[in-house]
Amino acid sequence: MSDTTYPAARVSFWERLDRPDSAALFGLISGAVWFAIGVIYGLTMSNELTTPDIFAGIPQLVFSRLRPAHVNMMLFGFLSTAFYGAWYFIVPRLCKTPLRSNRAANILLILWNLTIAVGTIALMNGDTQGKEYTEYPWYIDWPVEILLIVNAVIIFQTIAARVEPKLYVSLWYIGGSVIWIALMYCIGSVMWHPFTTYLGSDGHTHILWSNNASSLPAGVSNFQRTGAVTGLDDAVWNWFYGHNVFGLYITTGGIAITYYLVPKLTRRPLYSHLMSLIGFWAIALLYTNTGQHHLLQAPIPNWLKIVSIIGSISLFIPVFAFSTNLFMTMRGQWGQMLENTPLRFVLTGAFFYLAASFQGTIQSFMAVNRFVHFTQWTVAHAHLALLGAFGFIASGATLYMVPQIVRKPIWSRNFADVQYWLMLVGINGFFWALTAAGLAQASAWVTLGEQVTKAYPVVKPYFFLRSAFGGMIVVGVWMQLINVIQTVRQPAPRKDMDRYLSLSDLHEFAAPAGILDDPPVR
Amino acid sequence: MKMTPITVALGATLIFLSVALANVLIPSVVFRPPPTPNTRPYTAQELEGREVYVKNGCVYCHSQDTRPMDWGEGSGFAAQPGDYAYDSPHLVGSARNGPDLFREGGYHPDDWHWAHFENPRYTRPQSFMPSYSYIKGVERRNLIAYLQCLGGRMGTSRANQQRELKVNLVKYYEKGAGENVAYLNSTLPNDWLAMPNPEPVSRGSVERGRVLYVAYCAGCHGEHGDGRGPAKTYLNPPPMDFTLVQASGARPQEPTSGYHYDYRKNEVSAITNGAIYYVVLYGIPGSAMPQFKGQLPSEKIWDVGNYVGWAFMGWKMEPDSGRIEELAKLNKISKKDRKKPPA
Ligand code: HEC
Ligand code: HEC
Ligand code: HEM
Repeated sequence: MSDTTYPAARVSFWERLDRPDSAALFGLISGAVWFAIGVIYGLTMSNELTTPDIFAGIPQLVFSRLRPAHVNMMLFGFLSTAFYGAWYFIVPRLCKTPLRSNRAANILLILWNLTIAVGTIALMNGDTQGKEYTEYPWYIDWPVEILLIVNAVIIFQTIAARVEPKLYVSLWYIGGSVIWIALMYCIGSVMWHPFTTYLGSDGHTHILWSNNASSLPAGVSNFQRTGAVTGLDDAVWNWFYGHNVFGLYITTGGIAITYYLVPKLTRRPLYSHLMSLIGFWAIALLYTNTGQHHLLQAPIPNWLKIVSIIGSISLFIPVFAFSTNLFMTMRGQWGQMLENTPLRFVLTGAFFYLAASFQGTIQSFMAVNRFVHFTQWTVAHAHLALLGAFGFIASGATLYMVPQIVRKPIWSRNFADVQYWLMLVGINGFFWALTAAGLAQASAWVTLGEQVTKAYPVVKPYFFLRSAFGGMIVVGVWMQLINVIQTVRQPAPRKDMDRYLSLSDLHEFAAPAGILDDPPVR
Repeated sequence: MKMTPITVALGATLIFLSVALANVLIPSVVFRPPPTPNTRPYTAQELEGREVYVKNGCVYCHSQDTRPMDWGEGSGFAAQPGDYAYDSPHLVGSARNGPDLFREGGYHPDDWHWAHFENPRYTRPQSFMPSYSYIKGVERRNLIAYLQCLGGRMGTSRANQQRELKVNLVKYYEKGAGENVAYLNSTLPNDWLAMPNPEPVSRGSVERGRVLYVAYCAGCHGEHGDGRGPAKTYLNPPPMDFTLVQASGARPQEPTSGYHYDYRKNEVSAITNGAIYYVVLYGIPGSAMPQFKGQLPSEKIWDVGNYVGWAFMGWKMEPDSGRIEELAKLNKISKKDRKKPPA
């Protein structure tokens, strides 16, 4: 951090945490670090599927323990911290007031990173709740929930103290996201049931203190494991959360960043206020309903399935509202995509978001879902949405915001460009390889009525392809990490820095209400 | 519409909570299916096994959710809501990298599972399931107990049936190869023992069979057919040692009605081609020998049977192509392949 107004020697730790934008920088760098670690997990798992015995016998490195560690690290490590960083950058600028407060946000991020690190180790040690996306054990759930609430408080305090009267659309989405994730996390993790309980033969409910179930006495009933309810209902709770964590946290958070960055980077006002309004309320109303489309193939009540299908289909309203709004903002400006690397990342992400949502709508039709469910097709979809759409948006935000915060040019533009192409080719190859694998599996199972076991020689080649394309993504992501670190470590800003910044003049920008300025320095 | 922080916060919260009410709270009140008659509570040991299953993330590759259309999976009983009545957490799963396990109970005997967790390549050379060799002793026994109770009461009774059948198989195995084969043959339908082979023991068939043998059988029966595949250590009875079932070269597929094999009278390849077909198709219940019903189509089963007979039990190859050069080449190959492992 290069803020030259502070003589380095006299800065105390707490003062460092108070520097403007320090929390944003911290978040973005943490995100880049988690991203780089997370892709290594992914590549390892991918290789385990092709050569299963590479780490045979090491419990921490078995595929099925790396998988939750990878997924949660990407979700709560990479995307969350990168988004928090971006939000801490955006919110003060849109509110024209400093973050309330940078110190709190920095401490939050320190604790958050610690929590995720401990959670990852717990998952690799097999300490899991066993439900997708809510795997963290209860002693991770509680810190996460508390930090989520603190995050909401930080964001809303800043918004409440804003100088700019108008609330830009990014702020709606950020405000919504921080509230929704805090609400849904506790529903998804069944947080009011932190212990494993059972009904003993004496008719009383006991807590199973030891995590080792071999302490179970004979004749137990009403077994209810930590972070779960009993019966198929548990799946309903699980997937209500499991979809909303993407729809009302990652998606909305990423949309907020896009709505900020695209007008900012192109210096064009947003096309339509009405469309952003429609998009926001429609996403709030519709995404919440779609969780059960993950259970279309399970025997849950039909009305729930129908609600979720209707929700999934109507999702085209917010998706198209967002995309149209964005692309209309870009009209006549597409050439900028070639010159401006962060913009290219963000817009590519927006395209992938459109594609993933389109695919999602199609695969939530019953006829399609019964075909592709359980196959690698779903994995392709998940990566298209999370890596292709929101990974790209987060990368774009990082590459734009970090240089802005440290007031230094990006260390290497070529690195960023190469990273872009590696990631673009990587995610495309990855997506098509897995989609093909999924279709091959689906046609073997459903069309030919073959056993699952028969189809895996067929998918093996696609797994090799996935590893190859995954390797490209890994290289790209590590280039981003190096680029970010080197940018920060560069010597003090140069005079002609503006020439190098992807967007030099922050004040010239004529936004709808001129709201996209730097926050006043305290 | 004017957007204020209050509008955003209140609107977001209210919408979310009301949808949550409709989508999770109402279901959790009205959707309480009673256990189906097939479903029973887990025993303490099974719950402990389930814990191992949860901790090791088996759910990421194995669903527990059979659909009516999943012909090959389970016993053809589609999942009912009440089947999950005692599950916590649910293990419905969202991916089938491996087969569905909802009706797994009794599909394999305990010793198959034991070898399979040691390393899935032992029992299925093509598998990409990770090795769970670190799940040892009591933990692995509990895990297997859990797998054997999947499928509810029906699964449990299938598993018990496997255990009962195993008693006899072990008894006859210990009496020696001859009596073992005679006993196994006595459990097969006579018509099948004498089933004429539609596919001659030709070079092509044997070559195709070799590929299949390596991909499906070698982990148990060993590359040399001597039953010394890596899985052998864990299986009881161990995989059949084909080289013990010596042959005089008689064609085994000659139809003989009312076939009855007596090993004391006859030194011919005691395992007929029809017997191999039947055994590969349906497995040997009680032993680790699995069924390949859904995996190998009929021609392939005949092919792998021809390879087993030709390579390990001395069946003669049929000169089917009539091309001399090919036969000459073949002679070289077959000499190399026939080298017997040390007794
Ligand atoms: C990487 C994905 C993967 C993971 C994780 C995994 N399996 Fe498997 N499993 C497979 C595949 C593939 C097969 C089919 C080939 C075979 O039999 O090994 C299989 C087969 C099985 C079978 C035999 C099914 C049958 O009907 O023949 C059982 C039982 C089984 N797995 C149990 C488990 C258990 C228990 C765990 C967790 C400790 C687990 N699996 C974890 C992929 C996986
Ligand atoms: C999981 C291990 C396993 C695999 C894989 C396996 N077998 Fe077996 N097989 C056995 C065992 C164990 C026996 C012996 C049963 C006994 O002695 O009671 C056996 C017995 C046999 C027999 C003797 C049957 C009889 O009636 O005498 C034949 C033939 C046979 N297997 C063929 C095959 C073929 C062909 C394949 C591959 C397609 C195969 N097996 C795969 C374990 C296996
Ligand atoms: C219109 C928008 C979307 C719809 C209708 C939709 C629909 C679906 C459906 C039906 C599935 C289940 C597939 C199956 O298992 O059969 C699914 C899976 C998934 N979706 Fe989407 N999707 C949409 C957008 C998104 C977005 C934007 C993201 C990420 C932010 C996302 C992330 C995922 C993930 C991670 C999974 C995999 C879940 C698992 O592990 O099984 N989806 N989606």
